[in-house]
Amino acid sequence: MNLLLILFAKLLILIGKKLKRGSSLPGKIIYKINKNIFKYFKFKNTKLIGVTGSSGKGSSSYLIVQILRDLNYKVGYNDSGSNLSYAILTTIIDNCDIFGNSKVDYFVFEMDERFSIFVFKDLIFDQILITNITKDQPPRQYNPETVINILNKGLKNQNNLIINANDPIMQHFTFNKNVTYYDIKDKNISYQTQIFNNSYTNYHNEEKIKYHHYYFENTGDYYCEKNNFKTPKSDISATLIDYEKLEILVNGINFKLAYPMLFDVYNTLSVISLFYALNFNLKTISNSMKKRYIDKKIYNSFIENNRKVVVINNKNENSGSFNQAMLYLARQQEQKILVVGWKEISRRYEFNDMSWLYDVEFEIIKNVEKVYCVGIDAYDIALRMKYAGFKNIIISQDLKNAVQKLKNDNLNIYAVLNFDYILPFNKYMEENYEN
Amino acid sequence: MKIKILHLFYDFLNLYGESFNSLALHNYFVNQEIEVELIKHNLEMDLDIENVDVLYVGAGEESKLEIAFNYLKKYQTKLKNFKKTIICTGNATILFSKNYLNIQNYEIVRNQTRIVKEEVLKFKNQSLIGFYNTYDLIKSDQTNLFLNKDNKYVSYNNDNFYAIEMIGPFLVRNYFFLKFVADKVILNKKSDYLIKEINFEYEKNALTAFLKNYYSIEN
Repeated sequence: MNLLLILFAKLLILIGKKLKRGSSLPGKIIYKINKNIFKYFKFKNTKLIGVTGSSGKGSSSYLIVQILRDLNYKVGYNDSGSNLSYAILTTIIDNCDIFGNSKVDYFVFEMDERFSIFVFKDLIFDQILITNITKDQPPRQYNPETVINILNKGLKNQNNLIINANDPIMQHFTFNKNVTYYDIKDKNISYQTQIFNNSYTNYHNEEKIKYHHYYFENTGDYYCEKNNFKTPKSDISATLIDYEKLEILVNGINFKLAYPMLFDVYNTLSVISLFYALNFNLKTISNSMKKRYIDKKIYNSFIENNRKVVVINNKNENSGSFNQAMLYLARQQEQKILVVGWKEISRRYEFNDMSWLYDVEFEIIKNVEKVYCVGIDAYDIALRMKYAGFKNIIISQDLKNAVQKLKNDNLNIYAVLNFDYILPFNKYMEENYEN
Repeated sequence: MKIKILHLFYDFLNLYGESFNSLALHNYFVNQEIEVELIKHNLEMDLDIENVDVLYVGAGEESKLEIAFNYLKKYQTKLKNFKKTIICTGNATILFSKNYLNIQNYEIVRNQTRIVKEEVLKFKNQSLIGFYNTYDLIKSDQTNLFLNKDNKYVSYNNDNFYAIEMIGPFLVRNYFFLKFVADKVILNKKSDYLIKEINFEYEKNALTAFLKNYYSIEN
């Protein structure tokens, strides 16, 4: 029976590939027929790697796959756009023979943090990387505690975790687990007083968490005086971060960054830690990472009319992701123009929750000459900017018009845009593109 | 005249941008040229409401609300006798309900499934926008604050007490409700205070555009 199901699913996958339409449909159909189908597969010489978390799981899992493939390993990866269990099942079927034997060296699964429980109950992973749990998509995730509780249930029978030691929230997952920790130990990029006033989780067992220093929101070197709760000792540490050279020094070895932003430091560290846990030589990983390149859909920097234009992709409804851009912008000291906007808040829901925008700490950006608020919610963005204290606020519900106006300004531009505005913005800015 | 706002559990019950509700009040009073103090209360502080004029508390995760309740228990009498303004939003409404501190005449009914929805409500014939993300709804004969699309009243008001079921920066986005509450605070304090007209251009434009774009409502 299972053999026939797998054959059928493989046929569907083949048709999908011919039509250039990768989808999770084959996995969905097979799972509906046999809910125990995951148990059919054998991963004798295959390692299973799961990557989950509120943000960074796509970038981290992609980097893991790039490195493994660069090192000539065969990898199964759910890169067809879905990170739910059906897509994972489809990926497994595609990379196993009809008897369920894995044909790859590694499976790397990017998993939705709330729905990973459906995969965890059927598969035992060799390594699970949890990037972070932050305030994210309030209508869907409700709140971080909900996600933490669900994820924890799924992790019950799992083995080694890869965890950010700087993040106290991650300690929710470590009970009774083998853990590989990573952290930053470079005070040059830290700050002493909390600047992200709406960060999540300030307490541990009703005691306010204190910090020797912060790196971002509630990540940093933390401790509690009454509870025995502090930054755990790390296996992998970044001791020097050089955003100019796009390099970090980790356990004495230089690694290349793709972006001059903290989220990339943590993503890179998490990937290095994963390979450390898998007993890879870190120099080999460092060499492989030299081939990293900038994905211009995430971060793009160019010169237009003798001024710098930086375009950063933020993730709507995730203030943590947005705040990474704010942290980067806080480092840019010059007089500047800020552009914030999106085509739509979310494609998932019929409603348009705006509350997350108030957890974004625009207040930490200095020397903003003008703010352009762009898109359908330009007026709501403008209201938030008023509260941030910006004086010169320009509102345009039309992106093209906004870009035309921007071209009459001569200051450096920093555009923090949702993914749906990245390509149109770059396209409209293309004239006078020099670099 | 000086107005004191106490934002209860400022860094503990702070789910989604709700700190801006106390800031909206603060800014309104500043614009009225009133001296104002915003106290950011935390779990490790004692609760001193002696000279407080407005007490605000925002939404939090369910386990945190229980901790907040345990903290507030020892101040139950003090809070019961507190006749100044209290505003709670989201699931923080449970704190003052019959379920917890029992100082207001409503109870909270916990839904089996989470209620996640956006609603256009009416307050004194003006449209306002609210976002629900909660298991908890108010049940009372006095649910009398906002009129929903089914012509039913939701949320709860009793004199200077406001239990608003919606989350997020509700007072920022609904400027005329902010004005209503804040003016009452001022006039409770000084009945002959001459209220100034405040420029709500950004607030008005944002609400108007939102209602027009998403609900085809001309406000």
